[in-house]
Amino acid sequence: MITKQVVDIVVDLLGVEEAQVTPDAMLIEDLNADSLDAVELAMRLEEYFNIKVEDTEIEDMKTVADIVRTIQHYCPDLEV
Amino acid sequence: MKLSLMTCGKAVGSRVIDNHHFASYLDTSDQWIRERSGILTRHWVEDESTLDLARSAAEACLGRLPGLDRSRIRVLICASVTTDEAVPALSARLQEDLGLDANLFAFDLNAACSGYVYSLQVARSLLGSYPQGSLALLVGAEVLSRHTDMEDRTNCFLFGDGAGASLWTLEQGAEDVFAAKTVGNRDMLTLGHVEPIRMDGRAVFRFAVGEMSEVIRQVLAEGRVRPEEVDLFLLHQANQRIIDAIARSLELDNDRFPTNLDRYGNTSSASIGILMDELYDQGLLDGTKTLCLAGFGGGMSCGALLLKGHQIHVA
Repeated sequence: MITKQVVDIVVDLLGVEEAQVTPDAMLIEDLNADSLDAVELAMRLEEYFNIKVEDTEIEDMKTVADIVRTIQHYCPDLEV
Repeated sequence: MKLSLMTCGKAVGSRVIDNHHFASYLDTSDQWIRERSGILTRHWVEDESTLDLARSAAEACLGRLPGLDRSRIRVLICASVTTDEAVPALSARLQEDLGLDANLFAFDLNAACSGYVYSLQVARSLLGSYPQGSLALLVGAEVLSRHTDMEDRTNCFLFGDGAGASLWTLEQGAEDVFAAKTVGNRDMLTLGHVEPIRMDGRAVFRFAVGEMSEVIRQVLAEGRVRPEEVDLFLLHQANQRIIDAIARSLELDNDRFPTNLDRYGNTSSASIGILMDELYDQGLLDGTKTLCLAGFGGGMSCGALLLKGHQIHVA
């Protein structure tokens, strides 16, 4: 569930194809995100999962798998 | 009683600076600036002062009503973070230059980029204590190019110089709704007496989108207006990405969020006034409109004003 939602949010925000949003996909290098995209992504994750993503965590979210791990940290009861 | 717009005016710096200017001496490009900000050009002053821009905008505004009895103007508020001097106030100089009646409540207001919205709310409150038919002149004026570190590639391309003016009165109608938020912080955005503008772009983006969305929702809820019932959202013109994110947050199309930051950049407290003047010119502020003005800025500050079923005054 986490992964599906993360993929949906990334696809909507960055306008990329779902197939591109693989676990190893790098937000900046592979999906053409920039620093403001990363902030907006964090804000959307916060809204959807009702969590608070710290600034340092935003910087650490380099791949799609990193994002999923961050959400898992805050929402351990949700299925990955 | 509610605010009613009578007319608008604007002035901008005389030099047009495109993005290639920055690419000529910094590690940046036209494309990089466009993608991160939506800005293509900005106007900078040559040797004009903030007072010069404020006066030009105010004259353009009042010049649209040639038969106006200027003694009706009882309130004059100048919003600025870049006044030429601390004393006399920009507003006091304007009183003299515009030949306004001395029986005038004039002062400057510093709420950074929230200044225009804050000033309008203050004008609304003050007009209520004057006889009906009294007017408030609001001028947002900035010369930011003199306070920008031109070697700071992260933000030097953002700012422009300009002034926006508008003339308001109170009329019968549904009360306007205002909401504000202040979060004291000097890590995100500062402008010193000597130090130029310093900004943490990511933090400001997060504040702007999060808090401005919140105050907009607050005034809509209090005014019992659904987002789709607002004809135009007139937001501080800081960055296209911020405006896009707020539109998405409210689940609205961008066509309700007019912009001109592609041509003028971020002119701080002048930006909404300049935008209003252009919309007024295009006839988009005629008739009955529900407007939501919202700004955010250093402080950090944030404010929104809902002008419900806004009736434009016909002079």
